[in-house]
Amino acid sequence: MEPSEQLVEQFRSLALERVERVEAAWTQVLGTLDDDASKLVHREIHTLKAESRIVSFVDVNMVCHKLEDLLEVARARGYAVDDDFDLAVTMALRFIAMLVKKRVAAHATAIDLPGFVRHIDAILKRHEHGRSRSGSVPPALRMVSGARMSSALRDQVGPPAVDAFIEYAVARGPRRDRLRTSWHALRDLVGIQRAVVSVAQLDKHRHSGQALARELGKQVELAFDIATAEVTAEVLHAIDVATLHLVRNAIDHGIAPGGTGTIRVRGALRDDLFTLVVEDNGRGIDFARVRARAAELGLLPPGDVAHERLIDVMCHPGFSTRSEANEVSGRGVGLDAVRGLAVDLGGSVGARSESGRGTTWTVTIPVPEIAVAGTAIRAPGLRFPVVLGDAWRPLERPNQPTAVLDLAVALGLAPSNSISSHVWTFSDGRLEIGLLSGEHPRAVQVRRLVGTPPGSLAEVCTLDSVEGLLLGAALAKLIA
Amino acid sequence: MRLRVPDVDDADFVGDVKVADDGVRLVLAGSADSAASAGFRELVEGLHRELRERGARVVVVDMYAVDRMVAACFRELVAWVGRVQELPPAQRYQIRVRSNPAIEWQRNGLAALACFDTDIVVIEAA
Repeated sequence: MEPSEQLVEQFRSLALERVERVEAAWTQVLGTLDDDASKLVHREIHTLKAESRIVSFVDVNMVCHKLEDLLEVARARGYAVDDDFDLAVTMALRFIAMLVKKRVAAHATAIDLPGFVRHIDAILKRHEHGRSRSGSVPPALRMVSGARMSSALRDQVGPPAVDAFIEYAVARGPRRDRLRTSWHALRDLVGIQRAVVSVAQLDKHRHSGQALARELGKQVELAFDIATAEVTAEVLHAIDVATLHLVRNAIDHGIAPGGTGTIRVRGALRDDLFTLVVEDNGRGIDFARVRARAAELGLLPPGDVAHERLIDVMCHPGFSTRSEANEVSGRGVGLDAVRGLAVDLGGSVGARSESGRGTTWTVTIPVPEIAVAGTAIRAPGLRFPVVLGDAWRPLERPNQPTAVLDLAVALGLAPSNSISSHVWTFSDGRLEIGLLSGEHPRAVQVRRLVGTPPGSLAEVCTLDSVEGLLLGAALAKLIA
Repeated sequence: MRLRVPDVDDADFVGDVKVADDGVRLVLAGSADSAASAGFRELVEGLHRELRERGARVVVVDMYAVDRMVAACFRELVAWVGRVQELPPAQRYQIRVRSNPAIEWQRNGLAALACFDTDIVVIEAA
């Protein structure tokens, strides 16, 4: 049955409002990674897709479907997408708006829907490698790959990657495309991969925990309280693995066979430290058994040992109080994996337990600073944003600056030949540096993208999703 | 007539409108970042008005030397196509885009732009 004219008109009006909301939210997501805006984008497009089906706008439905695929890829990449990807999302939204409006237009149009869909498919294909083959893996985890470098190697590669970015960013024409390929390859290897930890990301462990409890004949209530936080993909991976093993251990070891219990999982980011707490009200750790098993394996001398030391032994590779492994535990892998990942990231694992009252495991992982405050300028000759880190403050009433820098020259590029830039003075509390800028310096918040070791002149950041340079304290070296 | 898109002081993105006997030609060059979008909108809107007044049948947009165009600027091109679509058929004009296939964003983005209306947008490889 054909939808009524009134229904179609209502759809058009609502659909165009939805597209406008999504456009605004998409810009916000790219700029600030706002979690609510991200949810709005996905929710609105999904709703629009469903509504378009009701009113038989098959073409709108098809483009919404493709747009959802694009948005899923963007989410999997922590919304660190390039210009072309942003362009594809923007065009898809405009294409939807046009399709929604077109039936009211008096004239016939020559819209190439198959051509547009092919274009989206080509973009998706190019970004396919960033997607998971398994639908069960949370999107942000899909970014973690074995090809990632160690932090030491990343420190070594960071500065040349920054150079590659500068070369790419100032290049023109086909050369720019060639250099972009190199820059993107480096960026994917050494870049900070952003992710969001949230209840939604970890909820699968609640479901699998409940299934495991049923399987073991236990009645377990699982409560998750995770404060949404921006972290790196590596940190999210560590939190995910820790939740998996600690929840399974609590069900298998903590709650008595045939018994009932409650497991609470809490997580929050505070002062650049993410703390995950997994707490059960079960039997508690049998420290005597741990001690005996550790002595049997030659890991500890016989006699009294502090509980902290016994907790440490429990995280030893291959340690288990079970002499034989079953399907759930006993291989001594889980706690070792939890501690290994946390320690690799500079974190730690601890536990306290009381017989008959339960066990509380606490995993703390430092989260690298991702969002940083700074001051943006438009440096002449540089075709990307330049942001001075918070070591440098613009002076409203400057003295004569120690030196005036042309940043293009400072970065090894040709002088800018600027004729209308002003000199703005910045101070780090000791020196005053004059910098040319085509616009008034403005306070911004940027996201670090490719870090460099302390003492480096610059790292790559994103400002409102546009890649640029973040200059640190080492700028002073240029005039020292 | 020469229109310059307001941008950074080193004129990273410029637009020249040239009116000759054989028609109107908009020549764009440089890198169109988000700071250029407001100026680009003004330029495109002004050119659309001019073309309507002249009763033009075609405008050539030379994008051969545009290295980069961010979504905020590209949206203005899409809006331009929409404005032409809204005109009565007799008043519509064609936008013939001279592109540079060696530049990746042009290969992808301009081909998709043509999908909005194949009667109005024609992409020509230079």
